[in-house]
Amino acid sequence: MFTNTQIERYARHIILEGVGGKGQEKLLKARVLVIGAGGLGSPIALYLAASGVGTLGIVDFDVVDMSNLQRQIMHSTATVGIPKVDSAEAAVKAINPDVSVIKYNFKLSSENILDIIKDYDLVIDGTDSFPARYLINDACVLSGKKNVYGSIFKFEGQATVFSSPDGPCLRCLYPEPPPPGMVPSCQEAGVFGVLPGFIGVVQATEAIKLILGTGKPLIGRMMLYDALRMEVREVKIRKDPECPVCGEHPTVTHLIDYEEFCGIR
Amino acid sequence: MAITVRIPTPLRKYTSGKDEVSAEGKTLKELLQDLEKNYSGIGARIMDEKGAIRRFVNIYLNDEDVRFKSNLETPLKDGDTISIIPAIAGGAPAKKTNMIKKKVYLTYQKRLLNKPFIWEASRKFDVVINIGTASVSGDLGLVGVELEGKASEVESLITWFKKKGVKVEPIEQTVLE
Repeated sequence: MFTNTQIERYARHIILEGVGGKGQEKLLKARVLVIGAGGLGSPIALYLAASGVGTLGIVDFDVVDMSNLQRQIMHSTATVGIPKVDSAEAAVKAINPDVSVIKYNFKLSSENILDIIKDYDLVIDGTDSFPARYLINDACVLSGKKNVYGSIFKFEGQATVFSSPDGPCLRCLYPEPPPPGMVPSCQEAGVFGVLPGFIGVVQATEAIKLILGTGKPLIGRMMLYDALRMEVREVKIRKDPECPVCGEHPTVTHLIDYEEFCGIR
Repeated sequence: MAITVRIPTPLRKYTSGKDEVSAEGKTLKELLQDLEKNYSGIGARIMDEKGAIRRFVNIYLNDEDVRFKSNLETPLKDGDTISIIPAIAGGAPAKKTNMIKKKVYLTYQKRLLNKPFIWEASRKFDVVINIGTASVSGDLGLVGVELEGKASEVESLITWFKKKGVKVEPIEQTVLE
């Protein structure tokens, strides 16, 4: 049952065919884990909070830095220097005090990730490194959680939903992370400030659709976005029977902590 | 036989920044050879020494992954579009995660008292050395510093200090703050 304030707050959802009171209740009951409270995590957490997702877990070990503010819209000049999870909690609560926020102010590893994700319905990957992405992928496959994936580079982004029972996982596409030296240096990379806004909103959209069970999810398809061409395309992605983690004869049966690396010199 | 090839951002340095080029070939293999001929260096980023497509790069013919077609032998026709799609990791550049700040006490004996070893350290290592407190009494020197820089650089500096005979002890956060 909704309170009067909730009816007022979620009125535009409740009257919307495809969401309705029932859908809004699903959102309020949902538990979503947002990994990374940065460029992608900002629009994800803010829109999930505004939409009334009841429980948001937020994982980040970093503190807010002035150079984050060009794109990480959940943080502000006033929160520079404080842990991102605290800054995120304040931003989420300011939008919607209904949301309960669970903060994880540490780095995910093979030791702790399974224990954290087991309490959530859905995982959203807004991280910024290959080791984190493969760890999250494998943990989601091993615990049967869908992984709403988004990734950006300079002016381009990718988004999809991994590890649903009928769809591929990250390793179906790329069995192993690239070796150091084959990816561009992080220092030279830079990122277009508005880019994570677009990709993060796509991730939030897919998460909400999955919770509601409505529409056609971004499963088996990867969305490719090019901000400079202002072009959105999609390619078909398939579950690989030879996949090392979700295939028929998995070789990755426990979690791996890949070394942090940062590209070629 | 003109085939459009979509070039992802990380490979555009081989195509003078172009996000789309034209190439020729009856099969994907031929197309990639033609691509390398005109954009030297790009081939090695897509294929390994044995000529197989690298595991962290996917190639799509129109919207289909060539791994689920005939891989390098996939036939191509005029008007097809090939997209090269590498794994990307970013949310944001991870530069900051490598940077650390470490507060330590440096204690040293008489023989180092007149040696400008902190000056020397700051010239040798790319680390910001910020002195918080310092006292020299009798034949013992004690300096509390904050070291800021890349984790590996800070660690090398600490090793260098120790080699010089300087004792390095971490300062509990609460002492200085």
